[in-house]
Amino acid sequence: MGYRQRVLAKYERDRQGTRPVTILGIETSCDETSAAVIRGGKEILSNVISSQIEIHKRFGGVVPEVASRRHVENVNGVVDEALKQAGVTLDDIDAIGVTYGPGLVGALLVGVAWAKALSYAKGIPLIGVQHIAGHIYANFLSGGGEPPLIALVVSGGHTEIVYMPAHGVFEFLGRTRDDAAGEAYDKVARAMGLDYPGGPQIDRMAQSGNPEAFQFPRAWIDDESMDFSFSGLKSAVLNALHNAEQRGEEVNKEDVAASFQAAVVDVLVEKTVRAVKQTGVQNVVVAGGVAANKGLRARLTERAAKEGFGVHFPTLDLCTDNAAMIAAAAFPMYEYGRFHDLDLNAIASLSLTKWKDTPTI
Amino acid sequence: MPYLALDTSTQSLSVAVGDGEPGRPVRLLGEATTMLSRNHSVKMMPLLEGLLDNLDLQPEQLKGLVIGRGPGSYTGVRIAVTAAKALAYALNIPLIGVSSLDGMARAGQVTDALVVPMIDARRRQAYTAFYEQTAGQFLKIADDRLTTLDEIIKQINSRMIVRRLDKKPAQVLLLGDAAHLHRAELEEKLGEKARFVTPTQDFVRAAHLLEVGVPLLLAGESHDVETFAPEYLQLVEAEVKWLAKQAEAQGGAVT
Ligand SMILES: [Zn+2]
Repeated sequence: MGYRQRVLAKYERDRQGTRPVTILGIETSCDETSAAVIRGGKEILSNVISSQIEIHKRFGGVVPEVASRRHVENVNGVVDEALKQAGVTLDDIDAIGVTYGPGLVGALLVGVAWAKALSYAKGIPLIGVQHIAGHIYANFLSGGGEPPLIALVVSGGHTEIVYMPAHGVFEFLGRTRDDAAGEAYDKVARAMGLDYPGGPQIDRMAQSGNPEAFQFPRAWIDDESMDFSFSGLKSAVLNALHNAEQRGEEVNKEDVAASFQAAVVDVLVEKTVRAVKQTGVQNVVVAGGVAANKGLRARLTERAAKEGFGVHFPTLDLCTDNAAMIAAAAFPMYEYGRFHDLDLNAIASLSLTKWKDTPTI
Repeated sequence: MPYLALDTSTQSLSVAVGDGEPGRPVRLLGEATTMLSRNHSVKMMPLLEGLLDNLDLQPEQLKGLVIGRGPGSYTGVRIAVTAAKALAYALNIPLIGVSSLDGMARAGQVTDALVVPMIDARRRQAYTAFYEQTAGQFLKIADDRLTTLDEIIKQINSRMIVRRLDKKPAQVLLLGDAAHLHRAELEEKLGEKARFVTPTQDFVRAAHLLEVGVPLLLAGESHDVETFAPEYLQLVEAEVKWLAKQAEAQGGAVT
């Protein structure tokens, strides 16, 4: 029997059974090698993450070739550990969800090559998963409500407001026109002399600073727009630091951090509220690394309560890259029966809205 | 007993299946190689699937894997190595990595010349290894390494002196993209000694990897599947710089 027949026969067989759907997730898009087992789309049986952060710290950022090499060394052990912790074997797996973009192409290729070979060896359906969709699905693993909803996506590479009418369907309402929010955090952190990754440190320092000490600009773009722009804000912070240095003044770094963070969070919260009002959706989820940001969590929660809509953040361990969210995002695709073929490729700039258009078997 | 070989470390994308039994030469059942694959990631699994389908084999019938572990393109070599790690894990079969240079050099295994495959590593450097026939056996006489074109020419010339003493012909068969790239210079500096294979033989063949790897697997040798990784022969540039900085910080004591 050929590969496609084997996959479809297994799908038919497994659909007839009563066992809840068990999906193996694999994630290697950046510097975390992760594998997870999810049952019924929402229950985490295991979520193993091997972080390379200590390795990349010495280089001041992720070195793609180093990350790719580590993924190859890590992937078998991480998957094996995920299966063991979940108490399952490959024979219990109904589908494999693997991140195929966006991300570092060499890093993505490791997960994709591994997942395809596994799919071929065992005739297990293969589902390529868009990484940002994974971040959004992290919410459903921690009690987030069902679509329709608005997803605020904030990370080192993304700042987007996404309308999600149904599972697996995404539409952009707004996106950044220049830097991503996380990118602005990293650049400001570097200018303040903080170690990589600097975002979480700014968040921590902001807790004890005065958010009104500096008047940094908020880019509203226009009244209707849900697009973002953070480059002006970033420049203003860098200027403030530079000017102080020129004058030989000691700046209060906590105040800078707090004022910068307030400017970012103001815009993120306001635009999210706009999206809720324009679509009439009652449910907001937050996704991406910046979803862990305390300032954002506090302000958006407070504002949602006031405006009367629901907001959900993933638990902190699900905010960073992990395979549980990838397996969770694969679940609706399994239900739809949309499987990728053995020619699945890594796509460095795979768009969220194009995900569902990739060819399937 | 079918064994599978894969190589994606260079321009060629090659998969082969052969039968192996102790004490007998590997019998090739089938091989598929493409030279135009711009994207081994997309093409490898379908090529492998097609070959096994043609041979009426299911993946679970495979008894072991032989993998070209480089040197070559970093991203390229990872495709076959990573896939092999998943296949070995899922099918619970042994895996052995062999040099991709072996898969190229064996095009010259019946000549009695020195055989030198060269994979281009830019900036007049190449990955290379030396081979020759001794007592009917095709042997590797200098291991895989990354070195400069000038150094390769120097080493070939000094091998020629040894070969004359051993009453072997003072000839060298050159293969690989780096041999092609520097052909004029190699001909000029090695003169009559230099021979080149035709393009139809000038690539890494998975069938050749079977010849090297299957006897090892039959003898019970294999790599640990979990830790198996490509042989890059080079650190990443950022690592080199970081190590140099560390050495400097330690007062330049490290030389
Ligand atoms: Zn991410």
